[in-house]
Amino acid sequence: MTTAAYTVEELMACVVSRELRDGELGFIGLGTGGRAFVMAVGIPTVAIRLAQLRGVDFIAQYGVKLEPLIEEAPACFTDADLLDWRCRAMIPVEDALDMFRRGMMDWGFVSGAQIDPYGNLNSVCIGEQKHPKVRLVGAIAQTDHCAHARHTMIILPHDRRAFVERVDFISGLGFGDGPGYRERFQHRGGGPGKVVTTLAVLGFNEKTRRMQVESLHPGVTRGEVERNTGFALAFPDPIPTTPTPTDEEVQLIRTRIDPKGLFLQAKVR
Amino acid sequence: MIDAKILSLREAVASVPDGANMTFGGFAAYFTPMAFVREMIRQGKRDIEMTSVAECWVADHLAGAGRLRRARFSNFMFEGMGRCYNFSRGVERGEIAVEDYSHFAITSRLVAAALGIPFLPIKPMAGTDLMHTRGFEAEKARPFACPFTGESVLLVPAARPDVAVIHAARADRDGNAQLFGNTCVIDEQARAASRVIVTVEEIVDDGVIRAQPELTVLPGFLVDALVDAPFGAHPTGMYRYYDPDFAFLTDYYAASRDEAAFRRYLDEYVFDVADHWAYLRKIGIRRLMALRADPGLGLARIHARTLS
Repeated sequence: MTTAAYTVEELMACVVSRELRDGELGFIGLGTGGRAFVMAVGIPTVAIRLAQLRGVDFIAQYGVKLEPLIEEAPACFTDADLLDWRCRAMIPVEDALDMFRRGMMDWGFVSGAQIDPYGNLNSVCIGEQKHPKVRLVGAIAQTDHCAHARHTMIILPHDRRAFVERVDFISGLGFGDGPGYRERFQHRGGGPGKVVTTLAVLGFNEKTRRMQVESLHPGVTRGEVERNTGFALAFPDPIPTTPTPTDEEVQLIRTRIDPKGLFLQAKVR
Repeated sequence: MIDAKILSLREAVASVPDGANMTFGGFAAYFTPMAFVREMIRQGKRDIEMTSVAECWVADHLAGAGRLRRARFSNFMFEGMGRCYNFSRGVERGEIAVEDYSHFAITSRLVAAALGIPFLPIKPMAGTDLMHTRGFEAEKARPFACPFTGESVLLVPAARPDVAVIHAARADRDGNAQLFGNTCVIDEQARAASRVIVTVEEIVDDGVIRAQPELTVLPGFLVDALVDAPFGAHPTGMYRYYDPDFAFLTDYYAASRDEAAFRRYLDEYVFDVADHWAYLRKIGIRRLMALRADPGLGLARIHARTLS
């Protein structure tokens, strides 16, 4: 298969899709706008549909909606349009959270304003919580996903503002301060699985629990990743290149899954 | 005692004391009791405390008017837009105190109160900084070992707001209230609160309610006061009644970035209009009719056309 021209968002969606397995269940919250929407909603949505079209029996819940067809997604995510979007069940948010609590959710797709080497996330504030420099939106269900989902898939733009040595506030628990931290709280969820960024795919060292590079996206250098990360990262030797989307994947995204750019270009209203 | 529960908007708002701990209906840009909130600001209600899941439009209005003293909540963000500037400014300046929770944790506090029990065990928040910041009253949550299995849990105390304000679609004169579509956590909020005020698009004959009892989200015995407030959620939307007024919401968001601009917004749409009816006159019948939902579609026909 030849390599097609693709966008970084298409690449990220393909990377995420390859992690999804038969019989797994994933939850995507519907909300936020612009770039945050592409990271938290758009990329996982396209990834799941790609996996399904490849024959993977992955079950997805979008907010209250169980398995709506992405091809029928409304151009506008208001309540009325979402209610009219056909799906297999309407599951109240509290019941969805109960499913998390019982350990039924395999993947929680999360994002945030900051992440540290142990995969802890912050969406509450920049600066001190009582007197912040910037007050952000709040913990939302990010905390709940990070505690309960079997793994979290963290999707972020890769820059020094986001990748910091210490997050200003831990609202979503990764591996805390390292080995043994999560275990103390007997969380059912296993913590961060992958971090998929605009530059690289990263995972976590099983012993140290620190983030490490798994592959660099085509054309991205080690130095570029280091310059855009506020903490030391381990790199494999040699450093693999993230597999590029196939022609078929790009075609599927552009003609069938996201022809209007609702998800990967945030053209949803 | 006929119609003993029915109050004017002015009377219902006047019955809420300054400093009240309040919870509000509404989710994203929908079914938010905005007429009530505007009247609160108009009447000078102050030092308000919110016990909230995500009632962004209420929080940002009260914050921008300088009336919000503190908030315990999961998140305030405008769907499709971003963070709430008035609210953020208030927190950044130290004028609004915050108590952060995860969505599940704050909901569990309301559920505990709704169930009439003192606390609920939950798992999330353990190990995060949400646990390390003190709440307004002593502890937000306490780590605890399950007495039966030894499993580590967090106990969160019941949260009992003084007043819940819910904007519903319709109710009979006894306050049996119905809401179409997404209802979020309003039944928990209403059961948790000491007092429940319901504003509605229309007060209907009880036969209308009886014909579809499965739509009743709040039984009348939970409702202390009922207010007739058509278009009472504007500029947010009301499923099957009218769409969110996106042009208005977009202008609001632009104004909220700047204090002087927001002051002008408050003057124009809150202080310089005498009451909700004057507000609706200002918005204009033409605009309101354009937002009105087609009963078959659930949304406005103009909007439906732009969808395809």
